[in-house]
Amino acid sequence: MQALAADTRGPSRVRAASRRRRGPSTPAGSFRAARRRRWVVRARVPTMYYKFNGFTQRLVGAAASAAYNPQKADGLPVHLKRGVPDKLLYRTTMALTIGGTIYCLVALYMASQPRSQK
Amino acid sequence: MAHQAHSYHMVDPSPWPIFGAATALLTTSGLIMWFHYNSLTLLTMGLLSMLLVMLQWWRDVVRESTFQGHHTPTVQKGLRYGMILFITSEAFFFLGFFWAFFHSSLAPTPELGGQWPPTGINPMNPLEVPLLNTAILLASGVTVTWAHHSITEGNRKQAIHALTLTIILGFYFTALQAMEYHEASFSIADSVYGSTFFVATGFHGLHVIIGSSFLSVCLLRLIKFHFTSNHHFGFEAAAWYWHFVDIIWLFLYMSMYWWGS
Repeated sequence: MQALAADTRGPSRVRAASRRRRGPSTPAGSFRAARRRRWVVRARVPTMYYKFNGFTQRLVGAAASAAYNPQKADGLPVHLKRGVPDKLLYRTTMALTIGGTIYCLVALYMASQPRSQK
Repeated sequence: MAHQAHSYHMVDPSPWPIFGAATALLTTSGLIMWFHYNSLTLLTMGLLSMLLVMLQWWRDVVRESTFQGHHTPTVQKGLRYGMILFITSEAFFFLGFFWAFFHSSLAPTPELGGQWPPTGINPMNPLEVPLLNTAILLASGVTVTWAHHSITEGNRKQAIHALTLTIILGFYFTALQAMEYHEASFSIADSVYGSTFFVATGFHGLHVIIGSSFLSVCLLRLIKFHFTSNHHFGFEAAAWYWHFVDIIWLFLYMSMYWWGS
């Protein structure tokens, strides 16, 4: 269970803080003004949410589908489906195998040459 | 968009089979270069490319099955046949080494002193570490079955615990065997006794390492929710392989360690 606190101060503390700023008492005539001040909204994200549903998972980039969509009909074969990391790994493997095969053929050719008699 | 009218999986074109074949060429030629020309370059390239090909090929199988849903019951049946046939081929591989052992040990030649174990060879005591290793592998067979039952019953915590225990037991076996190899009073060069013993137990040890790696991958996939209680063939294949490794050890223990001492 993971809870994320975007802002550690809870709503109750906000109200308490704004109450402290207003002072211990307000004159009756400015009661409505005080209420308006009290309900001035400071834009603030929810203080805490759990990474349970798709929306909050995507918010933090933790959803299974956040990385890539394996079923997307983009014509890419499965070994290149994730894009750049797949391409890098594929090219490294290809370089190693093809380069190695050429080196191998050269080495085997050289090894097959008869040694000069001394 | 065309949809298939059958339940088989026509895979995307893949470079891994041909790269795998090239890797086999590099590894075998690399061994020649190492043995006869004192050069490790080709062998290193071969082993590295083997690792890369295996990682990517099996990564793709996981993508096709778990993430793209191509493994219908028909496909799974084919995979089951494939794994059974592969394990059977491995059984025949070990059969060859057992044949060699019995050929030499049932009729020991005069060069060996007409006896088995040959003159001068002090075999390992089968009731010491080898017996412990037998107990370890038998216990790991129990824990892997426990893990399987936990998966089919949907008990995630127990499945993870049981599979982790199986892997730990596998590594414990490997560590003990490595220690035994280090402490042995005879080597692979010590007559046909050493050859048959170390080649058979050595290949068995390699299979234990392969099986432990397979189980480790399954543990990672189990933790990442890849398996369902009905569909977890990767795990079943690993468990079959692990039971096979266990059975081979039992035959090795009974013939080479116990009868052969």
